[in-house]
Amino acid sequence: MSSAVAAASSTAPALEVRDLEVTYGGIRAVKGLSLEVGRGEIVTLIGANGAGKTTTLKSIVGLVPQRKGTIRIFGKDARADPTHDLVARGVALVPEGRAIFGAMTVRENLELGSFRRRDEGREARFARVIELFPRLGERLAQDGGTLSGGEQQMLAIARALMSGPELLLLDEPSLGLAPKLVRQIFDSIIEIAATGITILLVEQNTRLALETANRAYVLVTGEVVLSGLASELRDDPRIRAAYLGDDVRV
Amino acid sequence: MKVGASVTELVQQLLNGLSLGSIYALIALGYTMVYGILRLINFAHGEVFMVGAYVGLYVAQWFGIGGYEARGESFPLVYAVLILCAAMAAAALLGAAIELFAYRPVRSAQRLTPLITAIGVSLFLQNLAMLVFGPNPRAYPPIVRELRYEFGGIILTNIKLAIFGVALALTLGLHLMVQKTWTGRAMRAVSINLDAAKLMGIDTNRTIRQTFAIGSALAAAGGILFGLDQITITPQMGVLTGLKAFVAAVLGGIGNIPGAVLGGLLIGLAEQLTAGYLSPDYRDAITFVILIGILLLKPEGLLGVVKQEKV
Repeated sequence: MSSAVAAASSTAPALEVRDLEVTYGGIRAVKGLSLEVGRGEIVTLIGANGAGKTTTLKSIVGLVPQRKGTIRIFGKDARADPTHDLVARGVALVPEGRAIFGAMTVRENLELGSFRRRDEGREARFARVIELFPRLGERLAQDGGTLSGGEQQMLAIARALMSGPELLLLDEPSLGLAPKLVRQIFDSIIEIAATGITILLVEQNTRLALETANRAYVLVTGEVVLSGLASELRDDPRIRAAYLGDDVRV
Repeated sequence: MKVGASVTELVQQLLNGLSLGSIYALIALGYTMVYGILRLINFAHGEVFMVGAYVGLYVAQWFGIGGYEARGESFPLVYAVLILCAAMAAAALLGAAIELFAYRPVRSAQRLTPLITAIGVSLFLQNLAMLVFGPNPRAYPPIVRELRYEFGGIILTNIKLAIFGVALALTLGLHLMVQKTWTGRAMRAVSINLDAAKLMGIDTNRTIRQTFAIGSALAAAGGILFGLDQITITPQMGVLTGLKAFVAAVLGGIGNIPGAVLGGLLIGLAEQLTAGYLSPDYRDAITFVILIGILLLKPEGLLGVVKQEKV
């Protein structure tokens, strides 16, 4: 655990978002969103395309600057911090579309993941991510751009883990992958959570997301319309309605 | 005997061309690095090259080079190295300042805005140089005293050798830095994907500033070598030479570091061979013929790759 995190209130949730508003090219993409992710939880943020899920994640890590509201990470205000400082504070985002450095080798991609954590723990983390994704171990000298979609997703997650994060944000890890690979990636996500890393998962595959997560928030056009335990939401008919764009607020 | 003479002549031209080309290569590196990282053509880069040459001139005077000349003593090599370092450092600061004050405020604007800003900075620096350094050509101080060697009719000077040597050492140093250091890795990451680089914890503003500083330092080294080679410098020296180096970067594949070196050497050779065998009048024009040719035939450049699709 990094000292920065230990210094913050130890009972504060991993992530606390209050009344987040994000305006993106003149459009209010997120309208007063609030959510909370407790330490060690897997929380999922689900919703149809364009609901504002990716914008929310980008906003949490400071990639989208225009925003109102509060963002607290392990009890510390994170709204004014640039992305690179948040990474140093133990937050990692695996972006939608993976954003692998295609012209760099798998090993170089992983090394870049530890840009802010060049300590002795680096080798141990490297060994751990290779254990988690053995296929990456076989492809270390290969360029990232030559990997298959599934392998790129593994690399993107492994690269994020190389920063030794305590809060991991995942944006659509199942996107464009064959069902068998999706299963494998989600098994890894559960394994990662078991090591004590808090996870906020944005996903379009609702069924899978609700099977994996402890709790869920359902987003419709930039607003949370429904939230609760994933186990209870699984069979909730309102989830379906939310995807069809209906107003499901109760 | 006729054949022998023409071979000697050709070798001589090639050597001169490679020496000129290594100066272009040093300048082209800065264009290509900045383009790679910001997709910006830094038109002020030629002026950074010019300022580097002038800083070298003033530092040489400060070291009292006139006195050494008057006494017929050779200028200490240590001073020559210090002059090079001082010019590179000054240019690095200038490059970083240009980035901070001129380009950063317009970084997220449309593509045309930074481009026009770059032209503006270029004109500003040229005119400032005329004001500060004076508009007239200045004789470049002989910080390395010329020694001539002759091998079977081929004349080689220690200055030409120094140009090769310095250019080669700096290029290799840059290569090692880009491939092996964290700064270099950060630069490559930023050039591939800015947001992804931020997510790695890279302070991308810092990386961009470092890129400008390093590219500018290389241009300053080119400026001193140019001064040594061409004997005189002017506030306008960066315009044509800068353009040629830019063409060199495009020829090699803009954004590609080995490409800039290759392009620089080829432009230097083409220029020298044109001057030697065709007519000295065409020595500047050939560069632009090459530019038109490469844009028609292989717009991505000799070593460039067609822009990779993002998955």
